[in-house]
Amino acid sequence: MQKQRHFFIGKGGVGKSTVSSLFSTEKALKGKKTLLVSMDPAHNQSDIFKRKFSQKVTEIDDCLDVIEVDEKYWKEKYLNETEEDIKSNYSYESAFNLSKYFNVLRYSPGIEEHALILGYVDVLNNHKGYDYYIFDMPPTALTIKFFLLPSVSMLWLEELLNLRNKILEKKEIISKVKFGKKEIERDKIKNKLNILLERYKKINKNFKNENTNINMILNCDMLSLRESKRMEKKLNSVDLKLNRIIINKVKKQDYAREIKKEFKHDKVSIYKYSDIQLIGYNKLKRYLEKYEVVRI
Amino acid sequence: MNMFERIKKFFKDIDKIERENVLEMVEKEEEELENIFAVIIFGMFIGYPSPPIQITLDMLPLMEDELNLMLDKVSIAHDPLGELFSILDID
Repeated sequence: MQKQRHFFIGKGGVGKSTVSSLFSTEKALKGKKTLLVSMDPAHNQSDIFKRKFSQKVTEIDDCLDVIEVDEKYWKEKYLNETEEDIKSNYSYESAFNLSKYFNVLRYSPGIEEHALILGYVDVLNNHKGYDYYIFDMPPTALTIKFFLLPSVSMLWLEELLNLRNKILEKKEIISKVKFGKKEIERDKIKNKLNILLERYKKINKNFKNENTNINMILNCDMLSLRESKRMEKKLNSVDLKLNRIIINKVKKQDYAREIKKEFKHDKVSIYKYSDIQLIGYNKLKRYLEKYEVVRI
Repeated sequence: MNMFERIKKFFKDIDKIERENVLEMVEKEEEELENIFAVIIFGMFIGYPSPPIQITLDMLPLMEDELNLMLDKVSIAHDPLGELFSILDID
């Protein structure tokens, strides 16, 4: 079986963490090696499993491991490495002058989703050997930025490469007239732009891979339904498709069927409302024994 | 230097001057393009919208010259006509 990646997304409070932990437990009980990855900076998985998780893999059961992506760690690592890079490439004076700009960047928006992407790539590269990778995602805004980042970056990089090529054409003309020959020089800026473009193409391909499943979680209420529809529209704008709609905390199945109609989606699962609090691995197992996950 | 050589030198000089003039224009154009490139990437430093922040950060270590060029251009921005006249050699 190909390795499966499942993202669980949705409005804040619909139960992304609970459903992703139930889904992971279900797979682990079937003997599939499962890694549950907490991508939400709020890190609710620690509360659900009553365990302290970190960037190191924690074993819950034979087939179930949990790991947290620490967005702050990746942010700091990335900024520090860039700062070091600047110091080693720039003259002392420029590097000194640049520090004031750099401090502006440190707090600018946009670093968060990049940090999440770095963490995501790290999980896939350094934790191989699982059948299922389950990603418990942050609430709507950050999740959308996470999924859109590779496409938006690719667009920018393609345009920047076009402009860079124009500059290099002019440079060639100048060197031909000045020195009578074309000076073929590897342009480090063009090179870097190409490396970045390839990186984002790879991530984008990974998002669109048939083994990547985006699961939208919502509840039986108008607010989460509307927000989910908006989210779906945004994902569709970069050609990402929802794989499954999951309706959580369902008390009456009739209403869930209405939501299914509204979404016009053929894969819908229902997680019934639980009268016990789902805290602890044993409780999760008990829920799965008691309630069947209904697929309508 | 005989007459023939002198004529040859005369045309050679004219060619050189023409080449230099044209070259200067192309160089200026190239410099402007580099400036535009830097403004696009580092726009946020001077108040323009910018690409996703990590692209700016990833390019920053490689672009010291371009960054300085952009900051210089910002400082002469109050006298763009003066710069244009000096390129076109108008006193």
